[in-house]
Amino acid sequence: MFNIKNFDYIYDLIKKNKKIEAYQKLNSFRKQYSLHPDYLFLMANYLILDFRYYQSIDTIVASLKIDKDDMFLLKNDFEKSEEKLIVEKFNLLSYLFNMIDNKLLFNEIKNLKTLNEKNNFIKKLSKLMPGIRVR
Amino acid sequence: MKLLWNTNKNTNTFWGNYHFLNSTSWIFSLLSEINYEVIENINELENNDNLIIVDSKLNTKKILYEALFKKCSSVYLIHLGDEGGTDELNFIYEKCIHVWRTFGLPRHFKNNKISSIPIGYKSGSFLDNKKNILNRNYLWSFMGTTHGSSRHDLIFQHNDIKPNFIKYTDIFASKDSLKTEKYYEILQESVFVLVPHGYIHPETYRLYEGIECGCIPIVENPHQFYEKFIPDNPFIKINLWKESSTIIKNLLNDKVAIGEKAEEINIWWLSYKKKLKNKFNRIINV
Repeated sequence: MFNIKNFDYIYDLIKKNKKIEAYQKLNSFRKQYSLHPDYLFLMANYLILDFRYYQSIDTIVASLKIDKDDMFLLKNDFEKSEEKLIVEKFNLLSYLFNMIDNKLLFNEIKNLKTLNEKNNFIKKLSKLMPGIRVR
Repeated sequence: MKLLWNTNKNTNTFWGNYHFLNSTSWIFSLLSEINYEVIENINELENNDNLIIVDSKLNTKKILYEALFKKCSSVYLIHLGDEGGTDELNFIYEKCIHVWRTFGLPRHFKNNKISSIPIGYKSGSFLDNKKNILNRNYLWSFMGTTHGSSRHDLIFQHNDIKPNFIKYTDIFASKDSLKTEKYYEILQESVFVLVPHGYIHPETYRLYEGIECGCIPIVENPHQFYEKFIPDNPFIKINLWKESSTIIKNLLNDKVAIGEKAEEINIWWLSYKKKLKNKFNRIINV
């Protein structure tokens, strides 16, 4: 599911709630991949282990924004996430909106059907939460 | 003892100027029991002087500090504005007699040589007689940017609690921000001040501004930051904003409890500030 070989292993650690090991692994890739869309997905999942739900949302939104930013991807020699992972990102975002009990955003995300609707939703989130910037 | 406010000297950074304009009331209030002479530049220092320096952006100032350590017999640093904990600190922190820093970092909480202090409030005038908490025009207020999901959710979760006052701004301290006087006027009319996580650090100025104005703060408290930073504080602490809206709705049915909470916070804040001042006094006036 990931473009970086070791990331499947880190995802597995997170799924097994191995917080310390997952953190160490994430830390070891931070310098190289801190704005990689797959890395941000892992980070968003890790933040949930730490009950930092809002930071997790901000991180997953940043990841989805980067997937749409071809210039940024090219400049950093990153690949956009695979379609399967992008579906996972929307699922995670939906889970988080439900977790924080934000019915407005939860109802909106669960009714997204087309790719165009999903793209527009991310654009909308970027406007609502403009501090999430990609430099 | 001499004091040099250096955040804005020989530099023209936004934060250097911001701290000079907005942090002086807070920092000078903490130093109110210390006798010092304010100097404008290092040329006013004599050999073996004792110096309190208020500064930020230490990364760019190593040469200055090398000179200060040679010239002065003791240097006390009040370090402002290092929100991300990214300033190179080791050389400077090691050679100071004591360091007070805002934006406290957990790695410093148990270091006897480094005291973490609140970021405090913007300079401005406050009413001597705060308006009774039960006679205020707004149940809650939020003024600032909505840069992340927490702040967006804060507004969503409290939108049905009225009357309220909401003022969005594009970026921190932008031209569309309220004037300081108006900003404090709104806080003094608010029962609750909602305090989300800052851009990087959990603290934001509105916490202390709200307390100064007699509001009851409800703070977002990721990884129990406030318990570690200020043990025994009486703030209402939440992880998700849905908790806060329930707390407010419950408290609105108990006016006595609101009055008692406001009073508890006010008494605690006066006592806490006194302790901070005493600590400055104890360390500097050896």
